[in-house]
Amino acid sequence: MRRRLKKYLIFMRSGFQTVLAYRGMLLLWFIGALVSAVLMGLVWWAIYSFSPQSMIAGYAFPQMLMYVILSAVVGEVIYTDTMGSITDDVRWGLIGMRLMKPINYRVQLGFSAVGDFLARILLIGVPVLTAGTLIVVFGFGLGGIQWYNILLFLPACFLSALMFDAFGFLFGQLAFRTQAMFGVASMSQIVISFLSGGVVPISLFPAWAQTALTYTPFPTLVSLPVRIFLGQVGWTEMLIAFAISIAWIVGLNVINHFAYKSSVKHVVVFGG
Amino acid sequence: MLKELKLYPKYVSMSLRSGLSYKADSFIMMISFAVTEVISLATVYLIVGSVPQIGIWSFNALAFLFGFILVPKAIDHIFTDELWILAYWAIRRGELDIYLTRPLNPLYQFVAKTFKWDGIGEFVVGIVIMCIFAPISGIAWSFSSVTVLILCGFFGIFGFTGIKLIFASLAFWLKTSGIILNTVYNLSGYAKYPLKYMGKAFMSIMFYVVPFGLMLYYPIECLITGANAWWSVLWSSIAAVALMTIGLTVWTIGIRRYDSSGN
Repeated sequence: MRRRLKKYLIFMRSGFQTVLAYRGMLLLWFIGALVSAVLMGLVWWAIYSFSPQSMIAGYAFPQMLMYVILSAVVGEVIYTDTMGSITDDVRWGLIGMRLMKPINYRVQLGFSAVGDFLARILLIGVPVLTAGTLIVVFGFGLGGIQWYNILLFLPACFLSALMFDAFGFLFGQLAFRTQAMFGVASMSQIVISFLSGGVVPISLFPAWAQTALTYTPFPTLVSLPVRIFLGQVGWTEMLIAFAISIAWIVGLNVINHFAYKSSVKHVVVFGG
Repeated sequence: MLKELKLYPKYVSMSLRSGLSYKADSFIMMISFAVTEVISLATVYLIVGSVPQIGIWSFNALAFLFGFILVPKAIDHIFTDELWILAYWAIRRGELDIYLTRPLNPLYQFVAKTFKWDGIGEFVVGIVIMCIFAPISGIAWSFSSVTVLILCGFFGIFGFTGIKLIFASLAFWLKTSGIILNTVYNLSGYAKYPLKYMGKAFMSIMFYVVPFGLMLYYPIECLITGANAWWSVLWSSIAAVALMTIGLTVWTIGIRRYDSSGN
């Protein structure tokens, strides 16, 4: 067991080192995401200045600003590249070699995603979150953030990264059947981001949509870590939410296991 | 120029034939672009729907603006999508070599080789949204306002192409400029919000630096307020000419220093 684990830990290290090697690229992507966050902040500023109430969907302006920053950070740190790895492996014909090795392809990608997440949270998550929180707390008067909420935000993000990796593997398997992975990737990312509260808080959705979403894994993906950071989740709710997260991760991986058994039969290896 | 025009249908036919050999893939791409835009509109609805009105802008007017932006964006996507490849990979992989050995304009060859008919998904969504919201957008429709809309949409296509050409051509110096292009291009997504109320600094950037606001937002604002919208046609045409001139200049200087990385 220990030997097997050691074998896969190499992939985790490799995922970590890959992000470090391309840190410049990651930083540029993140600057793009940060620009979007600032601009969304301006959109909300316009909305709040015309709102008859100071709270919108349970958020005052400083909280909404923090929500926008946090959702950008969560989006960047949890969006591991499992789907992209499968797509590249299929496109460049590497999948043949991957499947021949005495290594479980799914587990390898999972460990790689964990390394990817750890590097992202260290390089991007911690510094940007610190700066963003200081700006919103001291510049816009946001209160109510506790140290334990910040600490609990990290395991919540980790669970989200595992869930996103499971989604990535699920949709990534389509690479065995279609060439249009750019479309699949962009559509799945925007749908997941929208439904998980990555674009706007879920409390802005109509009541029926909020109820429907509670039966899906999406709210635990972005909304949960962000709400934990903002101190909007009580202890009991948090424990239940973590349990639901873990259950969804296990469930999605079980689905992946069976879907992969079918998908792998469609593998076509290019070149050689 | 005549030779290029004569050859274009052949390029389109070639691209369509290669695309149609993967019919399902092209269909998936088309659906994915359409779904992405529908979700974008839902986002605008959720944000703007939280207040009754943002100054002169109602949700219906913003939805019409959203649809209007999609049309030039989709047309640019259909014709010049290959510029993204220039920004991300073409220079790094030395893919331009082949175009420099043929007796045709290299930019023309590079852009013409891909006709992205999956952009029709975005185009249809844009037109449908415009048709739904036009009667309830608060715009006083006349022959003049429709002409303004068509002209600004036409110049808007060159706005998107010009911005893409400028920032994709930076790859001649940087090897890859995709992320920069992506960040600048994404600013077009903010022209669908009420720029007038998003701060003077950002509005100035969107009007004078990356003029998506001037070319896409301003015409609709004029139509809604009843201001003389022909000014927006004039400014849009100037911005389109300026962006295309800068784009072609950056490309021309860049291609001179292109050094094949081999493959």
